[in-house]
Amino acid sequence: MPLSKIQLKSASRNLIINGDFRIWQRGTSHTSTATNEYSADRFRTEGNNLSTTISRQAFTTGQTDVPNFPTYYTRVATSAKPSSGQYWGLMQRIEAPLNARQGQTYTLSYWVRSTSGTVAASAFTYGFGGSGSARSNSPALTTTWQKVTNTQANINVSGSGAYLSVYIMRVPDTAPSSMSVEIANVKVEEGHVATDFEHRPIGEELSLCQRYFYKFINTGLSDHYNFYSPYSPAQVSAGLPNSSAICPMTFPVTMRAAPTMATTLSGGTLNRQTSTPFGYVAQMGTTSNGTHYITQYLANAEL
Amino acid sequence: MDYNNITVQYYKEDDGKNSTKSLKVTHDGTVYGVPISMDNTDYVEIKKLIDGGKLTIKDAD
Repeated sequence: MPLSKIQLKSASRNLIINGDFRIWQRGTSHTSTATNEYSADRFRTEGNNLSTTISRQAFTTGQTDVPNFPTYYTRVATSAKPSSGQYWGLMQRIEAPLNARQGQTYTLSYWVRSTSGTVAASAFTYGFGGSGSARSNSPALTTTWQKVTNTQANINVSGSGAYLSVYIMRVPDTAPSSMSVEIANVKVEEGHVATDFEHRPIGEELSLCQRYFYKFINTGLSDHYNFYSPYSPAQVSAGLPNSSAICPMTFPVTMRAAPTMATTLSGGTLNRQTSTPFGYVAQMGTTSNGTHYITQYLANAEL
Repeated sequence: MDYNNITVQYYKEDDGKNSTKSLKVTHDGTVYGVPISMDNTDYVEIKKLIDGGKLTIKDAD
């Protein structure tokens, strides 16, 4: 039996998180001219600033063009090409050495098509980062879905340190001045064989995403975080008023590292934001009794 | 975050000293609390700028 016919089944085989684009905590459409930004959870941009819109799109229920009945795919629309000698990438960083290991063989696979018309071959490359990696040129794309794969033996993650770079699209300066490409069911797995995509339970997928990023939004109902006053026995020596207050919060899952915090308040200012992988403490120097201040916070522990 | 366009300041501890736990980073009008930890990628990038003499951390006020 040829290796390509062997179906390996395991819920945790895919090293890519959110490969079926179900989780978009930051919003389901992201327009940008910058890099190092996130759209779908765990998917980031890299390289040269490029004008792009990355958005979530829904499959028609029951479609069979892409197998295993995915619900969503992502559309990547570019309206420029990278500057001379530069590149732009849509990629995911896989945590190493915990999830990706030096010297291992990995295979990337996903489904791709153009939104309309055709996109010429070699409009972008896809595959792995690290020295010695050989990425594949994209095939000519039409509006018909096709599966692409790239296998890299003896993977090198040491050059990038804490992660293995996986490029879904790495767009060179020779790319078309604009293109719209659609991508579904991204998978990275150990070995030489690209097996079928498998959907994780949505709760498991969300928890995997929240290891790296968590967005809390106060709905205005009963999910307020309460400040407790005063925030420290040392308040007097620090000259803080009695209205100083502390607000501890616990993340839904343990994060990869102590995250960078960005907190939105309904009023006032924060004295401190202190985070650990497990939770976060906000402190305010001046508060009013009975007021709930935190309307949103973002915890970012991406790689 | 565009690290070339940020200001960085220590948070103030209860005893009035500079915090050793996190930094107040302002970028494009947004204030971020960045933990002083080499596991945090924002702090790693900020430390590179500081070590390279391109950025200084202001004392707490």
